[in-house]
Amino acid sequence: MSVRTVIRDLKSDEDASVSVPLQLVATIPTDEANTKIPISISVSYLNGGATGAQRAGTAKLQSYHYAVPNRRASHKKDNVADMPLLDTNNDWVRDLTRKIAVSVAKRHGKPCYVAWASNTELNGNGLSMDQLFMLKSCISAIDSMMPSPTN
Amino acid sequence: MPHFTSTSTFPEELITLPEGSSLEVLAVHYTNYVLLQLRLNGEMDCTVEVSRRGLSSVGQDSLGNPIAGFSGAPDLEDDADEQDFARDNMADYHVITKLGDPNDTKTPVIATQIAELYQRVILPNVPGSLKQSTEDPASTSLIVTLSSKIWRDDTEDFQKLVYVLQTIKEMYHL
Repeated sequence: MSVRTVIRDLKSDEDASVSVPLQLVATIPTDEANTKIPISISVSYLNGGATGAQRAGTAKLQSYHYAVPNRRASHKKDNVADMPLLDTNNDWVRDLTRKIAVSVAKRHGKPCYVAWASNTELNGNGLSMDQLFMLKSCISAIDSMMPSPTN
Repeated sequence: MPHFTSTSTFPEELITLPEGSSLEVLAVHYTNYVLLQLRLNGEMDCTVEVSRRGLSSVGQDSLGNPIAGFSGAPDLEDDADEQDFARDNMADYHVITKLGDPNDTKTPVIATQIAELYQRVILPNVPGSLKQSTEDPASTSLIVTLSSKIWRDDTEDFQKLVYVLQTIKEMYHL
């Protein structure tokens, strides 16, 4: 198998028994060294998602973003190129999706697709988490799922 | 999120693909889109969006089946020069290439075929994903990310398409 798919419900930093309403469905390569196999992440923000029934609820896809490391030496400064595949009017959502895609692509040296969905209109206000926390949680979740390098 | 995965190997008879090539599929169902990823040996590089367009509901029921009176078979009493409706199912879809080769005319056709499969077979029968949705299944669009290498060679296009469609259908246990 070249890839495997993992579902992860993210947990709060301070209290591991508290879950936050972010669910990841991530498809990651089984061979860490292959730079051609993309990582794909579907992040769902399910508001009011404390119960199992709500977690199973569906959300609306708002943004789909692509980032790929630039392989040419002359572009070392801009080492990741990115592009929205499904754009949105919501700057906050687009910004976060973009940041996750670019960070994961840069960290792991592979292309990355990030899909963001939520069941409420998000604008950064009234959220229980901030963008940085969500970004950090997604990045560390992917780090933990990736196989360790085989040298 | 309702999601479905499948991993399988392309049949040996498809000699234009490297031997033992794997097809990995992931489908995530949202209320407004179905996100589909088709990987060849883990790789994928081209993204298209397929949406329904036009007055495709004319002459059809909600599942796209022709309604009596709109079929192509003429009545004997009809005038010889009376026009009959001709269904062109390919025209029901609008394919936008989000990231890919703009000169590739094959991928939009393949995307349309996948959209037809979803429209006719999968979306009406998939448990769970539509119950919570207030969207009409006919309006759910598809975003497909796939590997341009699958259909790069020209000689086994149809067989590959059939295999991919069957694999997607089996992924939903249909």
